[in-house]
Amino acid sequence: MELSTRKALFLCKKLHRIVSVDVELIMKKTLKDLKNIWRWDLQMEISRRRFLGGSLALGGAVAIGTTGPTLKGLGFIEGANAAPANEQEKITYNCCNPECNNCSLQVHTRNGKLVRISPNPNYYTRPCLRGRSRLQWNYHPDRLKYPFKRVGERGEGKWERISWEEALDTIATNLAKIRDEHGPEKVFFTAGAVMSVMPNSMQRLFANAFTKGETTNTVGSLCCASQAEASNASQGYRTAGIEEKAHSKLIIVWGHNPAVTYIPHWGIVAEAKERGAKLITIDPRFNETAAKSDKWMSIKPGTDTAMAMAMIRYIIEEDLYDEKFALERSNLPFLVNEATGKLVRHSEIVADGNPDAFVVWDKAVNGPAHAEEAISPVLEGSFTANGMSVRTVFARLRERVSEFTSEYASEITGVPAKEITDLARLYANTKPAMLDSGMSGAQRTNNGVNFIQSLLNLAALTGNIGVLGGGVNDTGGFAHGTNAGVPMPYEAKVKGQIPTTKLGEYFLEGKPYPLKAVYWQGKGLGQVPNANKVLEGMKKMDFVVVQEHFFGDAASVADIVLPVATLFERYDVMCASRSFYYHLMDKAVEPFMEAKSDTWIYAELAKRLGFGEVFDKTEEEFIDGILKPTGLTSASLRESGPVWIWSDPKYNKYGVKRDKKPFHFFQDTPFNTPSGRFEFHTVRWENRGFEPMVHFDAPVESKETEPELYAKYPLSLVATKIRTKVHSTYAVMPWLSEIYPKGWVTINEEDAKARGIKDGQQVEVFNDRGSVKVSAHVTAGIRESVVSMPNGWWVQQGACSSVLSNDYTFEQSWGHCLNNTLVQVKGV
Amino acid sequence: MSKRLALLIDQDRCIGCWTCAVVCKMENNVGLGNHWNRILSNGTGEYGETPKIGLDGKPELVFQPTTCMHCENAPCVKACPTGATYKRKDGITAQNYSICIGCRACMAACPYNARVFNWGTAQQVPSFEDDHVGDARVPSRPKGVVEKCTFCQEKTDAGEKPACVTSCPAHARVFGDINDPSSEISGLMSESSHHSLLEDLGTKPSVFYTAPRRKLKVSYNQDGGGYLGE
Repeated sequence: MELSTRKALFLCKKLHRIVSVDVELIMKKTLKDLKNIWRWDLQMEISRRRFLGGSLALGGAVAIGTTGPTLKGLGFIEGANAAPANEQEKITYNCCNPECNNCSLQVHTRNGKLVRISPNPNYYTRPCLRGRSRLQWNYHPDRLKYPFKRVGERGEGKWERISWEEALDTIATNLAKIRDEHGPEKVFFTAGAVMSVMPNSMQRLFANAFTKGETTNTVGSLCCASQAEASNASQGYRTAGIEEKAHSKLIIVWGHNPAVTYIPHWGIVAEAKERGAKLITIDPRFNETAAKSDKWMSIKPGTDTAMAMAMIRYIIEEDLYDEKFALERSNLPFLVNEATGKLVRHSEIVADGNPDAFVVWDKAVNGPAHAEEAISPVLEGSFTANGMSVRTVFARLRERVSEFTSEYASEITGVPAKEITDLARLYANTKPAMLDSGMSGAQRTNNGVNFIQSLLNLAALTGNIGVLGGGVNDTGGFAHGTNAGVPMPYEAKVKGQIPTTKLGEYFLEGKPYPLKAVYWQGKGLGQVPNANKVLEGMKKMDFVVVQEHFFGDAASVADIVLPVATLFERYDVMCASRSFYYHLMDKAVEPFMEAKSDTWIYAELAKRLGFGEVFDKTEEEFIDGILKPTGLTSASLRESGPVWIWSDPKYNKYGVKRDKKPFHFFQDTPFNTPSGRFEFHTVRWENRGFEPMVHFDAPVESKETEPELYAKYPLSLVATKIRTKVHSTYAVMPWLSEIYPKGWVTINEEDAKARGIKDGQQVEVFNDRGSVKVSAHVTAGIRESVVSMPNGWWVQQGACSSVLSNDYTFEQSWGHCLNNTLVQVKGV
Repeated sequence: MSKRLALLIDQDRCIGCWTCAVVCKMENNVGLGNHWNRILSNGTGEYGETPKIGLDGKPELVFQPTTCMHCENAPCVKACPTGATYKRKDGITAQNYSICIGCRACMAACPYNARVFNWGTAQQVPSFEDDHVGDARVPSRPKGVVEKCTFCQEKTDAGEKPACVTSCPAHARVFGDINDPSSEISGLMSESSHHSLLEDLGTKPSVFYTAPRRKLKVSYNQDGGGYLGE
């Protein structure tokens, strides 16, 4: 059937150009291509025409000749003669749960069908275009409707529809066999970045009961392992200042793109700007946030720590630091044993001293003293204490950063020296000033941990911590600040771990031991770096189950594929994950076709495997259990709507009760570090054997560290986020695919000219790990020698940047280092 | 005095996220391949969003959500042979789908390219047999008629705001009666300078834009004590 075909020309004199929007083949192409790629061989071929004609039962509750008022939607009428919307609609509330802003959704259904998603009028954000496209997700023509079993070779794309009975029996039998023959840890469970509690908890619960706690776990994450590690080490937990931005006078966005990734919170940034806040964006690319900023500073990927250290140096040398904060709330005055490089403990200077307490030099007694008892601690100096040569952390920090003059940092980063100095001075002289990292792309590098540490150090040094509108903004929400969760029946006895970025390598090489089965839930395989390797690794498994909504990347290599319910079709709870609220995610409609909730699937498998009693609860009962420490229930949340975690001491881990405004981290909550202070020299890393203070390591896979590789692949690839996806979620929604139908690579004008590449031309981006063909976007709005690709297309969709990405990781955080990738680009 | 409904878009707040455009499609059941509201930008390239160098020598990107302008002096109304497109008393340029013959003269007349045509029966995902997505009050349009933004007339008639206005995450859109001096939009328009598109054509649009904040090219404070734009 024909879709409307249009080429629209927009003449806008004001913008001095003609914009051509080619909307024609977009939808036809996208959906048809997806079908071709997946090549499923169904017993019941569902054509789009029939689906769109509505002759199939949808949602299980559609009746032909519905009772209830006739909806005037189909005729063409003049005037508004229809009944008002709310008479025909049932409203429920839900929460958009990918790794984004977790907005409250007002869900409208008519006669059992989802028809609209609108903002919750009692909530502070408005859901973005992605959350709205969930209507299309629920009834997508390519949504999985039944369980499928692979026929033919893995990856061949031949499937046979099976019953749930057969699917569940097959899974249970195979998992049990593998566990009994090879050991429970040989079944590897993994799930995607779902921020609500139920889906992943149910998998964890099943895995725990099935293996009796002897699991293989992942370590690290694709998003923020380095951010988390640095935050935990320096201040005790991650913090989120999204709502605070309205109070900031200066927001430095570093390697982050909130105009794309935090769309629903942009009103808050806009408010800050209208109050006079300055917005500065530091990024190798002139991104969408830079387009709204007062200044864009272009920086070489992987070198950000060097610039931050130069800022630290400037602030120290120019005496722009907050001495009060330094002395009273940080460990800058603590003494370090120069011989060992470790913090001096109280037990080392006093016979019955506390081994967990630290030491400062007290001017009042001209000697060492307990850090929390000293009368007049000294910030800087070298001393001898009990025969040890000691120096304060501050003095050591000054020395550490002394090499990083603005000129030196400029050589490393490509940022002009004067701009670095100017920024340091501006930041130090503006309060409150926020460093907006937001799980920065700059921490997705081998130096990512220390980069975040350097930001935290800057904030602490200038007294911007514990100030409303200051701090380092990580991500929204504070899930780790709640006590909500599902208790596990068995104690965890992790047998082996796999770094999240190394799935491909570990699967293929049988590390830490050869796995036999993978239970893959909802995760975008195309998001894992070196994605082709992951696909190969999966093919080696004896048994693969994928629980999903579509025939995505992982499903393509599965043995059994299970259709799972969407968040409108089951019950769930959001516990402050990317916001400071508890939300009940209320079921609105029955599951589509034969889709089932994750809970039901695991419960059925549990029954077959002999531990059905673990799942002997309804979803709402599970949710009541999850919320138990708070005193909230699913019923009470349904009644009240989203609940702020700071509104009652029971709702958060720190027992804080606060009126709505203002809430401050580190005023209302403590530093959760071993010293109880902000740590510039972190005890955590000292204990773990890592360098405790900030430092710069040159980027791996770069000209400096791998010149031979660089000779072949001289362009740095950075991945970017895109308005129409959250990671790989929403990648097939028609309303979104119409906007950006296909992927691209952004390349600097000079680099393009040198390669004879013109704007819009098809090019190949490649390195030793893989290759992608996309169109080129040529611009001066990206650094020379850097290219960027939007991330999130599935491997089958052909523009998957992860097939090129470096899967390097490192023990300190097991962070994702995709922004340490070299590629070459050539015209095709 | 009669109402004159108008829309004010703050281009400083607008981040070109396309939420207004997608919500419009949802609420008004606009078929695949058509947009009543689309985001233009001053960039280059296949999506018009590749940053180009601005007049100050630095990259720039400005977003312009563009829809029917509900012109006071509407060329489409003049061009329509059947009277299917007409001006309402409140300023909305409205469409009567039952007498539209699909000649598309209005599309040729509109200098903003605001209108789209149903070449076939509009396809939508999801599509229901006896219902459609979005606001139930919005009628479905058959094959062969022209359609465009209606300022969500079904909503505005009931005292609600258009979907694009209530959905903008940046709160960049304001809607109301500019003949009422006490309305929010009148207040904002009196405080800021704003413009319409293609003003010299004499169409008298009802959609206004406040331009993005100008960046200072010269720092007035040269003593190095601070840093003021550039």
